[in-house]
Order: sequence, then C-alpha cells, then structure tokens
Amino acid sequence: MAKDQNNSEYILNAIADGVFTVDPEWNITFFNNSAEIITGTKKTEAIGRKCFEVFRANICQSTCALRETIKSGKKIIDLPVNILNNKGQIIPISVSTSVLRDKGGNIIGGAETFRDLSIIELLKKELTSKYTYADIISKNHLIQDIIQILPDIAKSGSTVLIEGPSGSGKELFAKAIHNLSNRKGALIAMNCGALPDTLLESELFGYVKGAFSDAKQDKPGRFKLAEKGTIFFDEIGDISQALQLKLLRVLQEKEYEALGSTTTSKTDVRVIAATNKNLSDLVAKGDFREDLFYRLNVVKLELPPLSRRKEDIPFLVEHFILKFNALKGRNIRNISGHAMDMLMEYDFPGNIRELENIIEYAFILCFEKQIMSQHFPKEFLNNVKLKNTDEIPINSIIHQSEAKTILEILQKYNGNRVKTASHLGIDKTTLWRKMKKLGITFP
Amino acid sequence: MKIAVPIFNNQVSPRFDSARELIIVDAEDGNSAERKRIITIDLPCSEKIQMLVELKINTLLCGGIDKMCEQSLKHYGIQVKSWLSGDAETILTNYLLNYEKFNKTKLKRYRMGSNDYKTIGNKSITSFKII
Ligand SMILES: Nc1ncnc2c1ncn2[C@@H]1O[C@H](COP(=O)(O)OP(=O)(O)OP(=O)(O)O)[C@@H](O)[C@H]1O
Ligand SMILES: [Mg+2]
Repeated sequence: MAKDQNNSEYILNAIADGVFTVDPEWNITFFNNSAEIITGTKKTEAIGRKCFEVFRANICQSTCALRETIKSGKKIIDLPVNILNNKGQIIPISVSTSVLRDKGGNIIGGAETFRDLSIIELLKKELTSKYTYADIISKNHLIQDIIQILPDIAKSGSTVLIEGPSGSGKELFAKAIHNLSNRKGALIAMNCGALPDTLLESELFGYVKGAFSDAKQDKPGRFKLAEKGTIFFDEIGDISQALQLKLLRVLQEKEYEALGSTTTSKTDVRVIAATNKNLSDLVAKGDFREDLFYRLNVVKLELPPLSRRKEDIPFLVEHFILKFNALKGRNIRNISGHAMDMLMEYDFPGNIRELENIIEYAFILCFEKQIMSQHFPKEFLNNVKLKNTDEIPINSIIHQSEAKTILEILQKYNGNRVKTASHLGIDKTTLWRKMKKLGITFP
Repeated sequence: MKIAVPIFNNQVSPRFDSARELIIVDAEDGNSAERKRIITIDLPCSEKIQMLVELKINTLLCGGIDKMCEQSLKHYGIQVKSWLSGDAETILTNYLLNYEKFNKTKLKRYRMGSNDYKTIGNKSITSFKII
C-alpha cells in the first residue's frame, strides 16, 4: 500500500504538469515538483496550507473549479485561468480537476492538475503584438518611473514624443501606450526615414484617382487607417520642412486633404512620434520647425541607452531566451556565467535590439541547454575582447615596432643571432625569448 | 489615516485583484474604530485602485498582489504592506494597536524634548514592526 503510494508520487513528480491534492477542508495534502516551479512555492511550505493561499488563482475567491467538481462529481478539463506566483507575476495556466475517493467510493478530497501557458501566451502576443506595459522588461528606475505613469499617459490622449537611441524600445513603448489607451482604432506605424518626400506624403494623406498618372483609384492614407486609433511616426526627425508644415496643420486643425482631393477630411487620431536624434538640437540648428516641436512635445519620454541600464541585461536575456524557445520550439535553459559577463562588459551601441540579435544568433549555434560565449557572433566577441583589455592595442603597437626592428637587424646580419643581439644591446637568450614571444621566425 | 484590507472568508484575501470584499478602518479612532465593509465583486483591478484613491486610503494591508497593481498603488501614494496572510481582524487589530502606540510615543517624544528623541524614537520604530 505504502509502496504503491510512493510509486505514484514518483510518477506525479516527474510529469511537467503541476499537480496538487486537497482534503475536504481545502488543506493541501500533495504538491508535485512542477507545482513548485509554476507557483514558486516550495512543497514543504505548501503542504498543510489552504489551497487558495498557495495557488492564488483568479477564481479561488469566486468560482473555485475544485469546489464545483467536488460538489457535482464532474471533472473540469483545461479551464483557462491565471495564478499569482510568489514573485507577484500573473501566470496564465489551464486547470483540470477531479475528485479523490477512498476504496469505499467516499469523497476524500480533490485533485487539480495545471499547465503553464506562459509560452503559448507569449507566442500569441508575438503574433498579435498585443503588448502592454507588463511586457516592458526593466528594473531601471528611469524606465520604472515611465512605466508607472504610462497608463495615465495612455488614457490622456496627448501627443507623445519618445526620444531614445536606436533599438532602445521606442516602438515597444508606442505599442504599449496605444494598447493601454483603449482607443478603438488601429495603431498604424510610419517610418519617416524610409521614404522619399513625395511618397511619404501620399502614404500619409492618401490620394484620389487621377491625382497623378499612376493613381488609378483612390487610396486611403495612413491617417485614414489610423482613424480613432493611433499613428506612430518613427524617425520624425527625418521629415522635410515641407512635410513638417503639413503635419503641423494636421496637429493644429485636425484636418487634411488627400492628394488631388478638393475635400477636407477631419481626423481623430492620436499621435506618437519617435526619434533617435535630439529634436531640440534640430530645432536649434533650424532643421526642425519649433512650432511643430512644441506640438509633438506635449509628453516626452526619454529612453536611456542599454549601456546606462546594464542591470536590465540579465532580465532581458532571460526574456529573450523564453521568447526564442517559444518561437523556435527550443528548450534552452540559461546562459553561462562567462557569457553573461561578456554581455555585461559590452556597450551595446545597438541597444536592446542588438542584445536580442545576439541571443537569437546564439540559438542557431547552441544545441545544449546553456548558451555559452562560443555561441555568440564573431564581431561581438572581437569587440568585447578589445574593450576587455584596454592595453592590448597600445601593447600591440609596441610589440609590432619591436618585431619590425628585430627583423630588420636580423636581415642586416643575415640572420646572425649573436650579432643581432649585441647590436640591440641584449644577450642571446633574451633575443631568443623575444623572437619566440613575438612570433618571429627567421631562417 | 485610513486603512483598507481585502478579505476572503474573514481571512486576508490571498489575492488583491480578485478580492470580493474590503474592510475599511480609520486608524485615528484606534482599535475601537468602526470596520466598514465594501463589496468589490467583479471590479477590475484598475477600478479597485481608483476606488481606494477616492476613499483616500493611506495604507493597504493585503496578501498576494501583482507587481503592476502594487506599483500603481504606490504611484497614487498608497502605502502597501503585502503578502500578509491569516485572520484579517487579528492583523488589523495588531496594526491599529501599533499605530496607536507609535503615535503616543511620538507625542511623548515631543514633550520630552529633542535630547530623548533618538532613543525613544528608535525604540518605538522597532516595536512598530508588526508584520
Ligand atoms: N524593455 C524591453 N523589454 C523587452 N524587450 C524590449 C525592451 N525594449 C526593447 N525591446 C525589444 O527590443 C527590440 C527593439 O525595440 P524597438 O523596435 O522598440 O526599438 P526602437 O527604439 O524603435 O529601435 P529603432 O530606433 O531601431 O527603430 C524589439 O524586439 C523590442 O521588443
Ligand atoms: Mg523603431
């Protein structure tokens, strides 16, 4: 009997689903290994406590699935709910429940199995880009300050200007603001740096049939597509003076005309603009209209470069490993200490996107459970090494000139080591050591 | 100084966002303060937070709470003492008694003059550790 129980415990501990059982008073009587991992609570702490205190599902206090099952005797299968783990994170899971009976068929409690759906949810998010502020990974206080006010900013409907170097998350913040804003329309992005002026204008405002020779039919612009939603101008610093003036009018009057059209369209669009340049500098240089700058700069978010928030690197790495595991169906666990040290050492001119690319690259080379430095791209490895030991370049210059001198003198004396050494004022063994160290071979 | 405690079956609710009931107390009235109950069934987290702001709650004593809720509450200046568990009334009484004690020492401290300030002040703060 006892042996039987040990066997089933062994099996229950080996499976990937979380499993726990309760007695009729809702005290936890069994808690398997996966349950520990998913909830973050140790077996020893869980057993004997009320299930709702440990499990903290959103339904515990209202429509507890286990209670329903024990009452009706009917199983519940794969009910999607969420739990709050002990780190304060909400984890999507699916639960299944059944009753536990003794040999005589009397109910002695219930069992619940549950599966972590985080990865599936993450995948869904990748596909629908339903990002919210919960997806912005950062412990940095500057970013945390922004995250705290993000819901208020989102709901305010104000124009937002996001400044930050390339790859620092400007688009991610724009998406989060849109998704938190409850605006019904779509988020439409427009990269102002990518298109020539005339094309950009027709993209933004659309055109009517016959506006130019290729205009065979009406085409709505991005403003139209973003109606009741948000338009995101990426690289706003790159637009021409002429377009700046047109944009100013839209922001001021909330109206525009499509190319070739005589009617004015009203627009209800929230504007978010991003730039990796310093817009006030551009204004000072006369490259950007001051009045447009003030229209855009109602709320300004400044995203610091990754090199100024290195404390985020471990968390971002963990996030990207999870993401690429999900996207590529892999099961990489973590990253070696040495590889992490290298990432911490590096300055990331390409910021978070560069870090993401490095991890993605490592996924190609890594077939073990752990990412190691040899899985990183070559350029990255070279750059880190250079930075790591600042002296090397200076040293290598000295070494080079030393080698050059030795070679010249060896040549002069036809390879005679004794004469070369005495010319240099060193003894024969020192010369030999230096040649070996500098890799000089002379016949 | 107003305190709120989300509850479930008279226990501190295991999870703030899905709690269906709150106790609200004014700490200035000490432990004899009236316990008001507010039903919060089906209120989404954001509205629950809004409600606490409107009720001018200063401190939330709660069980599990997700990071975003906690941040949001702090943003509105509400102090959060989280991950408590057990009988709600016991926790509340403890808190109120300590609050009273703390306030009395503050008063005494004032009367005794600044020299005694440190020792008494420190003592009272250590005994104020209730959770
Ligand atoms: N705080 C963050 N947490 C998690 N992922 C992030 C974070 N910031 C950025 N990323 C990710 O890094 C990548 C680059 O971010 P994004 O495209 O928003 O940067 P950007 O500032 O718009 O870059 P660019 O100036 O090159 O357009 C994206 O895949 C994004 O999801
Ligand atoms: Mg971008």
